[in-house]
Amino acid sequence: MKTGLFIEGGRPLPPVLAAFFNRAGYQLVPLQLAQDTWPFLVKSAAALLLMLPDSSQGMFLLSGQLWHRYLLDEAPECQVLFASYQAVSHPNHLDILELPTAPTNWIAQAFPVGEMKNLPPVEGMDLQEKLHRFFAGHGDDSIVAVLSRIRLVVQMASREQQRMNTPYPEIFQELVAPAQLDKKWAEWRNRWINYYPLFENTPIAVKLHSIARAATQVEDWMMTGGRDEESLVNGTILRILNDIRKELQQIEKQYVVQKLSYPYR
Amino acid sequence: MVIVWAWASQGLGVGNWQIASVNHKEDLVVCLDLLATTASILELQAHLEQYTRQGGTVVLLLHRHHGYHQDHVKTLLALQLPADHGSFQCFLFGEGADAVYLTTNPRGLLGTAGTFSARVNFGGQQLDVSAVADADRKELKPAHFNYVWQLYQLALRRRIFELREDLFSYLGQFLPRPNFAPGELYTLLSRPQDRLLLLRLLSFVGRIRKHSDLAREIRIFERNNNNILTFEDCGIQLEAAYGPLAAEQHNALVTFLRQNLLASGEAVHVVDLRKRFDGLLLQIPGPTYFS
Repeated sequence: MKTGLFIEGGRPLPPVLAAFFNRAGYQLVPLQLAQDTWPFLVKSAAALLLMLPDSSQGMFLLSGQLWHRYLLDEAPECQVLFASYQAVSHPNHLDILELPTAPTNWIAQAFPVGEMKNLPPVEGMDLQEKLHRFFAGHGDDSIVAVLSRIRLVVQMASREQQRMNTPYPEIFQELVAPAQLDKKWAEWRNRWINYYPLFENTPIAVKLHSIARAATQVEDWMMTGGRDEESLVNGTILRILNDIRKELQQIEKQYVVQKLSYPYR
Repeated sequence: MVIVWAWASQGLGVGNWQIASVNHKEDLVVCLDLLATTASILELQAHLEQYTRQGGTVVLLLHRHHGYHQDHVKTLLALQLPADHGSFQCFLFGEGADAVYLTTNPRGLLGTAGTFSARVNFGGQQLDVSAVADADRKELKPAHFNYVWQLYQLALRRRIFELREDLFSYLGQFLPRPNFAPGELYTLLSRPQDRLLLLRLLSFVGRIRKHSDLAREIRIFERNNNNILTFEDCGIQLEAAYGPLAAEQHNALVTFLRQNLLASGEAVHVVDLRKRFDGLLLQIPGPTYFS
């Protein structure tokens, strides 16, 4: 038996689909994205089955393009297969209401991830487009731009303190307080909480959770406008902001800058 | 966007707000605080005529606590606009989890007590959220306006699409059987664990009367799920927004569901059921979601 991983995406796997893959010689195993081991499981799996669209946050979301990108980079041997209740025709898509009669043949004819010229046009919210907006959607007001402005203030304050030995009360008065970090942070936070839960069934979920945890660590400092001297002087705030920036840059590089060469819909 | 709400209670009061962006020069949020009376309906009709001039599009939101209900929506939707005017849609809000509220949705518009700002609890932390870009200039943030505008513009297609997806997710557990015997689905849907889906279907086919126990029950689900799950005036809305073919497809689907899913009519073939939903969605052009 080969191992096929599947992501339910908030929708129960219908028994008929498990039986279909069993007949093709696959055992379907749920992929738990909360576990650190999932990338290794994907690398060794014969196929990854996505139930589309994901049901999450009261919406139906399409994670297929992000998974396709991930598999191209990290597990090109793993086939990506899609299943939905929509009447969509595509070699890698299963219409659950009208499953093919010969499962083995169907899987054999599905394209390997590197040879897919397009993805099945399943209806739902395109998370690839959503992620693009997450990074660049509002121009200067993108989530990264807002974070960069915050980080710049913290970086300048840190340098001023470390290199010039300027007393922090003075730095606070001259630089940090006028920057209104509490307001900037609230703005960033509002954007962030709007976006990141949408990606819980995607390959970037773990990174986003990590950013969320890091953001919580600087929350109090930000919301008091950067008044606490110690957290800035010991470098904690800048280090956390740098970590967040690094994670976001990695996501952007892999999933946004490297645009896919085919249209999704 | 015309919003009838408690503006005069203690907040910013009645008035017009611009959107703070050069791309939104012709957009406007008109804040009215009108209790549901015959005179108010006439006033609203006058506003609809005024703002649809020169092809303008209006989304009219009526607060239920001001006394508005489905009959008012029907009356307003029946308004015949001159040929050179644009179009409008009309929705009730309140008593549920409406995305127009900042407390429900950080990209909403309405705050607390007649304002555009609110304090919300997120993960145990208090956050101040506001749709105001510049209070002195009476300008709102474009992202908030866009979100609510598009949400209501897409509301009908999205809600029908989501009902279809949830219905077939539910039916998926019984596959590979292609048919359900007459009355069988109603028996299944009547199980306590399937209550929400049953209520949504009942709402879709117009079987939930206002102020009834069922209406109260589905509102509780809406609040708990933080989502709009009801289909008040769907047929009329579809006809007003998308024309008679959409209304026809809607009527055909509603009749089918009433007779065969929610009563003991004929056997239900799942692929046929999907075709009926798809036939309706085909008549409602445009995206289901915006990114």
